[in-house]
Amino acid sequence: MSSSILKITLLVLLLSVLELGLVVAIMPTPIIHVPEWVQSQLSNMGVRSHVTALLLNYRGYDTLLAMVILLVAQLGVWIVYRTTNPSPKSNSPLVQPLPRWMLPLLILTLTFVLWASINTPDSGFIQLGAVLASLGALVKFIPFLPPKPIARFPLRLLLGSGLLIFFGIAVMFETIYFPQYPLEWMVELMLVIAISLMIVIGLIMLLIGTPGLSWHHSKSAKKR
Amino acid sequence: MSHSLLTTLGVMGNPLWATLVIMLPLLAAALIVIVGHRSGPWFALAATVGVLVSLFKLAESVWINGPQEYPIGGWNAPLGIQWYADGLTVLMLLMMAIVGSLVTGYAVKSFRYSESIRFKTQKPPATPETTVKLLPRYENGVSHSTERLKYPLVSVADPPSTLPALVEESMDNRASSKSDYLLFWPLWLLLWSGLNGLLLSADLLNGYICLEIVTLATVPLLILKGGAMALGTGMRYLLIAWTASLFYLLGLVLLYRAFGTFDIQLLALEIGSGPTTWMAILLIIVGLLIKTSFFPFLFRAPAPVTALVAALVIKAPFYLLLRLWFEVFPTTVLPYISNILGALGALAIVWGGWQAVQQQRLTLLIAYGAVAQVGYLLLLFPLASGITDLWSLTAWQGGVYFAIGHAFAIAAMFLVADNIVQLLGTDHLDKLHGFGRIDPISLVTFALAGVSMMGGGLVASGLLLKAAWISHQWWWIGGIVTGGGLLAAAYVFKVLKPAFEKTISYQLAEPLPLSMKWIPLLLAIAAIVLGLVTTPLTLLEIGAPFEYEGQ
Amino acid sequence: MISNLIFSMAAMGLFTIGLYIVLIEAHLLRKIMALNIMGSSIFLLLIAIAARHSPPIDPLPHAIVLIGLVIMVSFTALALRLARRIDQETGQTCLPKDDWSI
Repeated sequence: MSSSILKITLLVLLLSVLELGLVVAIMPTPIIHVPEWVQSQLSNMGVRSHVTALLLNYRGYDTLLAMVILLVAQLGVWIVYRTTNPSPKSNSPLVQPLPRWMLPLLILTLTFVLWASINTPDSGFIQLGAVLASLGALVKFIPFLPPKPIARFPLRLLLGSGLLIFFGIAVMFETIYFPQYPLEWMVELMLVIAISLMIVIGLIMLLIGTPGLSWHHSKSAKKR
Repeated sequence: MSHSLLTTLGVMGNPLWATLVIMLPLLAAALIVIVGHRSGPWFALAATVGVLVSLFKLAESVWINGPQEYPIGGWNAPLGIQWYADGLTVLMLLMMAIVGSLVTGYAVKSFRYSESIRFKTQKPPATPETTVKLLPRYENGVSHSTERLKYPLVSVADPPSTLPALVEESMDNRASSKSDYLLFWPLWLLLWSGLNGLLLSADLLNGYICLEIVTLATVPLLILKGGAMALGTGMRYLLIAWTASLFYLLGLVLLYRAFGTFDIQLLALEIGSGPTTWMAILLIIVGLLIKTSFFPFLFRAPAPVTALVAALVIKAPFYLLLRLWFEVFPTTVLPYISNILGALGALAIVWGGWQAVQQQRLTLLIAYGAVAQVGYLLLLFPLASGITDLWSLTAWQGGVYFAIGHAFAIAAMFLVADNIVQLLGTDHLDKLHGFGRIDPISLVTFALAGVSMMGGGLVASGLLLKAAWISHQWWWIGGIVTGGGLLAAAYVFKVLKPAFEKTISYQLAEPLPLSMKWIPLLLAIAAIVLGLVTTPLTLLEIGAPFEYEGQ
Repeated sequence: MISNLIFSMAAMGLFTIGLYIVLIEAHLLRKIMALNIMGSSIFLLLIAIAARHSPPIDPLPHAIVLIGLVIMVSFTALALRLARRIDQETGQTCLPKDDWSI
């Protein structure tokens, strides 16, 4: 009984104090207009859309840090799941093997998505990475494919190298270049960055959900 | 209007050193991922050396040229991100680097030592056949294992852990192999890189992202040892830190909504009072305070991790709070809040000290003592809230200097406490008799670190007390500082008293390697030295957000 | 303008609801979902900010939302794996209570 009184009290408190404060805080204040020179600066870049220009050029450092966060999450999951026993397949009704004809469909979808992303003006590589990851997650349920990726060298190479590519380009741009003047190959460079980031995102979001994936799986497998 | 008018704008500097300070640990972590986890300590060593060299170069350039700032990639403030380095930044970067490298040097030996201890005391692991037989079976979607009581629709049959999850004694007997500890290195490097990025950035959103890197990297470090209690601690820390981050982000977004920028210097120019600002300040302060003061009792984490979290990770949100408080928040708002912060600090000091005195176990005693020390950090705000007076500069210098010395002292304290506990096999205070005979180095270290916790360094406390005297806040701040010192003396002597006795009532487990003993000693000596030397204070004055006559 | 205000107020309402659930509920999965709700409410507020005067839409909040999404996903992933692991180790889906028995 007392715990529900506590809950109601907390709810009332939160609603009155916090919510009122927040609502008052967002009442229309004199609104800052995005300055015109900011707009003109944005349209000078050779990259396609404003958001991509922000993400890869102006705030590329933030994007780099976001990729670092993904890597940190991946390492964290590797620590949490130090088990080296791969989980056997379950018989739960939630998880059914996909029919065999879905695999070609998945590959087709993936190719189309990649091709479309290259040709449209707004390359949202983060969303594409998520699509990649979800398609890859579905691959787990195809019965005749190997069930569990293991953190062997090629996988780790891909993971680390995406970050390294971005790091190299970031260092180059931050310390050496002042790209006030657009470079002729900047567009292609941004494409390389975007694709590498997409691969990293896709890989990480795929691997994070995989049970039994362990850094030293191979070592302990040899022990037995 | 805020006091940004008093801040000297920086000189456009050479970005190489700042870049290296942030990017070298990142590069090392990425290389560890590629090359393999056994290379961890070596890459960490290389990164540490590189960062220390770059830091000294950066400090040199700040010393000579004044505050440095650099827009990343040449894109300027409203859309791009700026780096800013003044005396405060450089001092905190040096603190992170020096304490970090000493603690991780300790960690190299400590992990090996823990592994050798566990190897000698653990039972032989279960054979694979036994493990397979223990797997719960699923028939018709219903589990036959007694552990899976509630959710029969759990989709994957996971094997149980090889040891039962009981409520454990203070010494965790879980068999942890050395390869588990090897994942410490890439995580520490990423954590360090996030800390450095946070200290250097002058863009609040960038600061938020770096703060998230720090939080996310700390959580798995807390779980390195494994076991149900460690997992619970890590989860608790994750949830609370995540909530606090969201508070901070909401505050930032509200500020953006009203003033249109995330950059510290632009925001300082644009900011004004109003309900939005009030709400944003409230949210930001609550978020950062929670992150600064909540470190759950970390005795489930390996000792280097505890030391790193309590000494360094705490300082990151504190630094953001300092920057925002002194550079961004409008001065009309500050006096109301500063007394609340001071009261919270006083509460922490008194409550933490009182709880510490009553403890019977060493690890808990030190944990409560660390909570009390965080309270001293908060005392800085009411003392320094008169912006243009001389005494607020004094208070600011004292508070920051205290924070830096505190890192060394707390790290030394946690490390030496773990030394003692490893050696004795238990952390109950009544088993500490005669400890000084066998391990005098650890005793000396504990005494020195205890002195630092009592006084917080003579120079820093002197500055704080002087500021308290001049600003007529002596009657409560001076009392709290003195009272806190007395309580600290009480709990430090509570540990030292049995250690000096002649009778010996313990059995020595395994002699500690020498480096595990002298690293905490070095940290404690550094804390004492920082309490006596005033040279870093002149570095602190570069870019200080105060106007002062003379100099 | 009114729609902007409605979105902002909805965002604040969601934030408060999320915070309430985080504080009240003991089940780990619900806490994690509530934290996601709080994060999404901040993104909603950011989008409302971006559209505060229509023709030149402010792109900076859009970029912040994307980066914030990546951060939110990382946190959620780690939290979920931790919760799963706690469930494996202790059989419970709430935080172990013994940490505070001091």
